[in-house]
Amino acid sequence: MVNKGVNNRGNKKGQVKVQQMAFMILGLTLFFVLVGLFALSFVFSGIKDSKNLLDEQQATLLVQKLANSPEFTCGTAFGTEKTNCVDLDKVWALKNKIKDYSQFWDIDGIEILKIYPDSTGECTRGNFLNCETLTVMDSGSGVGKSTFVSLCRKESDGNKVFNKCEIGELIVRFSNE
Amino acid sequence: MKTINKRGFLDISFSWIFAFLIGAMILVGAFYGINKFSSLRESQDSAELGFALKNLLTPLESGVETTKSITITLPVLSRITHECATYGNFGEETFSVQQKVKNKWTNSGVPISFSDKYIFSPEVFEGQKFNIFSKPFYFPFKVANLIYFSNSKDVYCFVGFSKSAKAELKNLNQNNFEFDSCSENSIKVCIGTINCDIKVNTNENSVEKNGEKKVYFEGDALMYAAIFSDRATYECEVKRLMKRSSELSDIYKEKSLNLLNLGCSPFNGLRNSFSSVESSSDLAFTAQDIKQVENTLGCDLW
Repeated sequence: MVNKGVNNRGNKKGQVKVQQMAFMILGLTLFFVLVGLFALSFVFSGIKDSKNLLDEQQATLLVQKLANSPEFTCGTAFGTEKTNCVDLDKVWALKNKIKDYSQFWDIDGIEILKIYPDSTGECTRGNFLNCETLTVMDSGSGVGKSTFVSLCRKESDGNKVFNKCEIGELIVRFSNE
Repeated sequence: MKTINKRGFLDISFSWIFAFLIGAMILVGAFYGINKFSSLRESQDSAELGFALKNLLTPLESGVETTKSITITLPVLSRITHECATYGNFGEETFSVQQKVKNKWTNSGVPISFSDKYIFSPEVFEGQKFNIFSKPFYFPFKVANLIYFSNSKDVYCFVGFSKSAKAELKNLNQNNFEFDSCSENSIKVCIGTINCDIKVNTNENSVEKNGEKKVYFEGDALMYAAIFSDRATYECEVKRLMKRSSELSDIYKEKSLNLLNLGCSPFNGLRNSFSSVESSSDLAFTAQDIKQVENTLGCDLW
């Protein structure tokens, strides 16, 4: 009987020790996990910044590239080759094929804005020569980057065909997700 | 005494065994975490480098210059894997960068894909400093600016090239290009000479490399493309270029119809001709179709 009592007391003491140790280990593990998480959040806090920076760089470069890409550029259709010259006759044709280009440039929207001479409204087939905005690729929203361009097209006064160029802006939209 | 002896040689209590087990688990977890963290960091570096490379190449595609060149120096020795695919309307190419850190290559890099670039390089190439140049490709309208990669340590020696081609290449100021007198370890690119690493035949518009089948070109832009890339990459990129040409041809077709009353003749497009290019050997047939079409346009369509 006496022996049994001593054993029970010993077992209980052992159980308490194991419990203490388990709590201690649990606490230690939690501590290390928290320290690890803190270190990780510190180290990876720069990822989003660097992604945003690279996206911004890409957007700025892409809008320049787009203005001079074969789908937009005037080429030699209006005399010698020029930089930042957009062929409106070509863009109108591109607008009808824009679905094919939905994944090509990795952008969400393209708009062309006529700055001078002043005009208003969205361009349609009917008012193509006298409108303000031509939405080539519809984005709805997104961050816009733009560059100034010459908007050139062929026109006729009844007797002869001539080149007409106006001042405009090419706007490219990106999602900022 | 007897009872003590029966407890065994190692007198370790349960609490110690428990502590060892948990301690071991914590250590294993920590090593696993560190390992995961370092591979995550490698992926981050690879993705950043790939994306930065993509951005650095973009200025090569804008502007009206006949050629443009840049030199890119990467932080460490890097291995770039360049894959090309032809699916969809334009195809796609993928770059992934592995870096050599402590004499060991990092895991395969994060792939960065793009559809709007046409890069001519071997499928896998290594180096730290790369000389890159671009040249527009017209067929017959401008299709794209082609981008050519070469490791600055690989010296290319051009023998028998025309004055204008040599002047164009000299103007790039790339220090790994030599002309006519070649150094010993250079890669010899020759027109009309037999003992060369890369043989260019301007009569049949072909380029032949040691151990590879001939590829065919139309125009200087594609000739350089064949010189600086391997056969598989070249053929794939040519197909991608033909896909873009098809799309552009449709745009010009519609433009010509819109300008009928302004002096343009209807341009029927060259989609069929571009689509029929299965390999570079078909380019000559498309070039013939282009010559026929060019004479029938009533206005400057492109």
